[in-house]
Amino acid sequence: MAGRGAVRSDVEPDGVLIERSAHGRPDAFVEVVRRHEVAVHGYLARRAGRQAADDLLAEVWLRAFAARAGYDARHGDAGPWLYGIARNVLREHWRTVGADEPAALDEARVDPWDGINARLDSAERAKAVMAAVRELPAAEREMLLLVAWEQLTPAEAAKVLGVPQGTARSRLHRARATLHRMLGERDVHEIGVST
Amino acid sequence: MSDEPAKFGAGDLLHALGKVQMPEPRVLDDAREVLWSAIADEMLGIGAAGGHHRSKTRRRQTDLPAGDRRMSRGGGDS
Repeated sequence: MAGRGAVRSDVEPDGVLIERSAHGRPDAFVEVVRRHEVAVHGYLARRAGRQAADDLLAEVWLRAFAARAGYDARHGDAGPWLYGIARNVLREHWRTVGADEPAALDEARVDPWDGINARLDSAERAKAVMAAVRELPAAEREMLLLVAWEQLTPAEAAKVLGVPQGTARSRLHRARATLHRMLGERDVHEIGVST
Repeated sequence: MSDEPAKFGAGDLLHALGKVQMPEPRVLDDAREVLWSAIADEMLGIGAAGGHHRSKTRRRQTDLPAGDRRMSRGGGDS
């Protein structure tokens, strides 16, 4: 995943480490975890809140470790695979606590704006944006947020969701079109278009 | 610096709303510690019967996420 633990040419790809971890060197898996732990925690925190993310992170690693023998080492970047496992952990979490994903979107986040004027202006618009996102069908919302929040490419998001790339791109297109219609702003069309 | 209030479009706001604080180092350490426990069990040959996390770590292939199964089959597009 470019920009999120991207693999340098002098660094062994995730796939090599995972394969090694499945063949006599299980400790090699820890390096894969180190590369992706901040990103995966962020994904969990954005969807379920920080406390839940703290609680769920280890479960993601245990499931990934248990499943590593089935990982295709040709996939050098394990990010989409780990997001997919994290997504399943989240779904079970939501079932357990009786919550739904949009509830997590209400949680207070880091204030990204410095200026008071900008903050006041943005607060109302931010509410409108999140209200519009909540209105999206779940599959489209998930696709949009994987691209907008996790900075995945549509192809990577397709891997996370286990859907063909064309399906992923269609969902992203529909999500952007719906937001554009609801918010009347052009820049939602820019989400994910460069990838 | 300009006094002009910044203008944020919906895409900018959506990006900004996705910002979360970095996890505390101890959170990452704790999660890795749990993983190390599973690794130690495997290296010691404790395996499925002896690990306290058995029910969570020994999953069937069908329990894996759809994307995981797809990649395991050699699918994907990279």
